Amino acid sequence: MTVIVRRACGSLVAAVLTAGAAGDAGVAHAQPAPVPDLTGRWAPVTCVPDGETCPFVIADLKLTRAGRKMADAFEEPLGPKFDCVQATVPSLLADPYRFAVHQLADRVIFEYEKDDVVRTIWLDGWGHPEPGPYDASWQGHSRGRYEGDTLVVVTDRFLYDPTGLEDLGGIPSSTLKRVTERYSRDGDRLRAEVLTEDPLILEEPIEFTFEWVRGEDPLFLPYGCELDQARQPVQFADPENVPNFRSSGQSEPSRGGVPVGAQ
Amino acid sequence: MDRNTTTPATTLAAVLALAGALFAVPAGAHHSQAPYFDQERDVRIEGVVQRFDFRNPHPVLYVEVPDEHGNPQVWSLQFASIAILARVGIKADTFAPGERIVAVGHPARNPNALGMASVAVTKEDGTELVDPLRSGSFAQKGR
Repeated sequence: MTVIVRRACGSLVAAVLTAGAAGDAGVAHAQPAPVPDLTGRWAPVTCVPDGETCPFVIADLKLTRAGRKMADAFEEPLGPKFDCVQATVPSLLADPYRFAVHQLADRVIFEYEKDDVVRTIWLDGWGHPEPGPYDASWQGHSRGRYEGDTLVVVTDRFLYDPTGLEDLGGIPSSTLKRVTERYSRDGDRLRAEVLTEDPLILEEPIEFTFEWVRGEDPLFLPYGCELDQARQPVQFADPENVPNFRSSGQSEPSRGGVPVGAQ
Repeated sequence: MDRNTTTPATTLAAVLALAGALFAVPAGAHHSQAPYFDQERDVRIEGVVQRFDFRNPHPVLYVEVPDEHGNPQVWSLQFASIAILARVGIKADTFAPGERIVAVGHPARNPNALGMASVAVTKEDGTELVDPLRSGSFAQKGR
């Protein structure tokens, strides 16, 4: 079987499948269909409409009792990011880094500057195997489909993640986290409407919309997180008042330096 | 010098500001440094660059600063990640060992740690280099 992706002029991509005359009989494949052209490199703009609370106000999240207790118990040094553990959706999407979209016939690949994350979105209709009971993973399992001009990506089968909904303040996500991203394009803008569900942590789903602008510069890769450098910021937290998002953030003045405005 | 003081405007600073604006994300988004650095205050130091540890997730500029008794102390100045700094022209060789700098930034919350983040660094020739996290042209969520 040969899979060819042909880029058409304008905004559509035609996926052309050339199957052997024999051998593929009885295998259901997606029919070639026009799909939106999302291929390219995208730089962050902000949440829509104004980014003021992008992607959400942490304190306003309606957490379940268990979610609230876990967030209350969280202290910043517990964050996996301090050991180069990759960010996941949805928070990955609102970070100020660029990413590239590569559209193939049977899958879409999202390649991020942030943390060297690469996500593969397995498109429906190609017989991709579903994850088994033991196939939960850090980035989860993503499957996708085109609905007109929109790429719909559904990701689930995540591992428990102590900062899986928000790394600032440690809002966790459970193994029931499910993120639905709907990507569409308007000229040089790419928009994603993102719905996050997690019935063990969230009383109700979170929704936000993010936009990126098309860019020509190559991604700055590799990110190349280094373990000894990643945990370095922890030393600067106040050991007597290690904050989480509910803390006041008040602490004694640090020593040294000249306070600006005191001169 | 305080953050409102006019510093020598250089062409480079203008270029950096423009570059930051091209990737503008409202400052109201995320500030992951808040648990570690007091975003409500600024301190100023003057010292000599020891080295620029240009590694992800956060490059660190080490600066030797004399304390009130003249004893040398080493400050750690935390920057945004390499990818973000690259877009405003801050590179591995931007700071050379031995050069004198003045820096303003948010101080560490740990009273026993000499560190700052979201810094604006002024070189002896007047060139000002501003971490995008300080200018608000980026919101840094995560590390």
